Amino acid sequence: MEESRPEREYELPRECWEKIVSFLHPHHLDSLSLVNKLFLSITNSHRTHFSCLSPTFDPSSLLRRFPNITSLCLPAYHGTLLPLLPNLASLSLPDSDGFPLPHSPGPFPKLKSLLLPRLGTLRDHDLRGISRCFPLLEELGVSYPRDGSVTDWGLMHSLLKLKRLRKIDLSGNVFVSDIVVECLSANFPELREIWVKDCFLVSEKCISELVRNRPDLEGLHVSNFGYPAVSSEVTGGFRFARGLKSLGLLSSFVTDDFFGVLADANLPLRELLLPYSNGFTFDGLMELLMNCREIEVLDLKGASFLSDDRVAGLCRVLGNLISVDFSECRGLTDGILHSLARHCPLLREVRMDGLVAVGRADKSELQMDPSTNNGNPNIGVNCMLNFLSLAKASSLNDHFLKDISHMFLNLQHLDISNCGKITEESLSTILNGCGKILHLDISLCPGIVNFPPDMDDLNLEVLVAQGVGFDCTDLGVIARRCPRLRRIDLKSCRKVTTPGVKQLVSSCKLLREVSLQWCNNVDVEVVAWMIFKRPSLRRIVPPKGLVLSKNQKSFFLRHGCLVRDG
Amino acid sequence: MSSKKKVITLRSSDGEIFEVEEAVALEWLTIKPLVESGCTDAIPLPQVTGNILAKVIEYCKKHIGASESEDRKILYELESWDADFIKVDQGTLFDLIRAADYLTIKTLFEFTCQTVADTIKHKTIEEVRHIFRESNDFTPEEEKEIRGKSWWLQGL
Repeated sequence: MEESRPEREYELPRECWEKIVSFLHPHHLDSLSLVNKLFLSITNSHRTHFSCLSPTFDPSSLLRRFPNITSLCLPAYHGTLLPLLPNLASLSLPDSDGFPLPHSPGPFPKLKSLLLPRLGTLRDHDLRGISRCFPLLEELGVSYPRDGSVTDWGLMHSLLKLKRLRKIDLSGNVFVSDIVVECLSANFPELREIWVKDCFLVSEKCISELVRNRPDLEGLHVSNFGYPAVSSEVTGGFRFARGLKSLGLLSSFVTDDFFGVLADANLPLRELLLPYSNGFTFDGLMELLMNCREIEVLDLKGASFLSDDRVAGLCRVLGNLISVDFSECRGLTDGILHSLARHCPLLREVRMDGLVAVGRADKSELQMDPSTNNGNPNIGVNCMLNFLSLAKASSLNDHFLKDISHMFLNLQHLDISNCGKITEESLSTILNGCGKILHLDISLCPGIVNFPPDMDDLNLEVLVAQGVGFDCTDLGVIARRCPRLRRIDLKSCRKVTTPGVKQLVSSCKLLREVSLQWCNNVDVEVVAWMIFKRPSLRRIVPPKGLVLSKNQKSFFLRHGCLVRDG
Repeated sequence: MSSKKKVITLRSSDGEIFEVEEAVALEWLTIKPLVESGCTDAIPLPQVTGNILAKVIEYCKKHIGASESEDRKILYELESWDADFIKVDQGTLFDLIRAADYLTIKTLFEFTCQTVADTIKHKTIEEVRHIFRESNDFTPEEEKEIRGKSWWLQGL
């Protein structure tokens, strides 16, 4: 009898709670931390990584609360960093204006990874500062600076001080040329991964030399490779590659001969990314794949030569696939989903955005699956797949969506945004059929007028429904049926009104993020009401017309919620 | 070679005697040294009651060898067996966690902790307090302070 047990029996030692907490996703920890002081202390010390929304905050208060932080991601941050640096092993500052270097820096030898994508400005002296501050960096990313004028000389001078470098991302630095890549190739025995996408001054020949010099290279990502033609001189270097696990040739001209060279090299390829590349045939690709059967990630976005039969053949070869991207492949139909499900038992993620043709698949085969599936682990291949993206599939219809609900029972993430023919009828079928769906995107689906009311309670955590014709009644249904909702995006839902929003916020006790951007029929005053009604809210994008003073914003922040301008 | 497998004797806190195969007992790191030293007496386990020890042994017997199996069918069956095994009241679940922790049985410890984690996942603060009989020991000021400082916890 539970009641007769002494109270002590409900206590667990701290180490047990620590283990339990280690199984939880960070967004679950937030509410757990407020249970009591023990839980606060356990969740605080458990936390080692943070992403932070606010462009500035007090770093010392962060360290006081979370003593074990070693990894930070601070988008568009412009506050001080200095107190944090001695403890950090990894730091990511996307979209910063510039790298905020302290005046008398470090060095900070603990920092191993520094990622600065899309910096406002990146100059030679920033790089000099980085190499001085963080001499033991193993990973450096300075991709796509908004205003970058890094010179070869400046880059080389700084990089040469970073002897431990293993990964470097120089993509989008337009002035980077062969000299830098040659320098990397000659001086960095530890180098394993390099990204030089959209570096137009880096030549094919130089990349080829790099591969020749560094046969242990594991990752290589380039774009616009091979135009106008790949010479044998260029492909020659790839004969020496031994360790290449991840190869990305974006928007490139890749010939069958080149694939032949790669096939002969017996690479341990796990990732092959060829989005928007051309120049090769299906047979050429197959020759490579026959030799690289361990491939787990395959991206053939925009490959026009693919047909359902060919993909079926490809699936038979690649039994280890985990993630595929066949978006914008105009020759494919929904039939390939069946091939994938049948032949790739480990498959978890499928992207087929922009699917054009639906309905040519063999229906008898499709419908056979669910019945043979039930309880039989040998055919239960479909049970692994949990991520399916079918955005912008213009001919995706209700019939097909219903089929999906029978095929992929463990679907968690479904994107059917921009699918004009979908109606709430099939939405209801799939939500009932795939009860594990956590993330649903139905943005810009004109056929979905109402949220289906005839359903059991759903597990839905994220609902993106931009520009959908939901009104008060629908929000009421969502409020009743989606008790676990964490995020809802109702951008441009013009029919949504204030009472509906209030009902939603009152019912969904775990709600963290709400976007009401361009919901012109929602009263701006509702924002303050929401924050006080639902303390779990962390981020609100208010309807148009809400202008907050600095004081009001920080007032809301003190209540735990970041409110953007409307 | 002797066909009879070596058996280890265990005594629970309430004096019940259990016999397990040596291979099972060797997975329990806390008593592993005793087993290896060839101890023939009943090993006393003063922190584990008989009914919990029986469950622990049941789990370990089922899992020995099976967890490493590559056969998908076996793994699938094991998974559904596990799901039935863990359908216990919360007191028993916590007893199992404490026993797995005390005996250092990694698989059982992780499995039981994962089970609690899954329970917590979608609960509000008040629900967690209620389920685990944890009382709120924050002052209203402290609670406000923590909420106010948690805005940047957003994200992953």
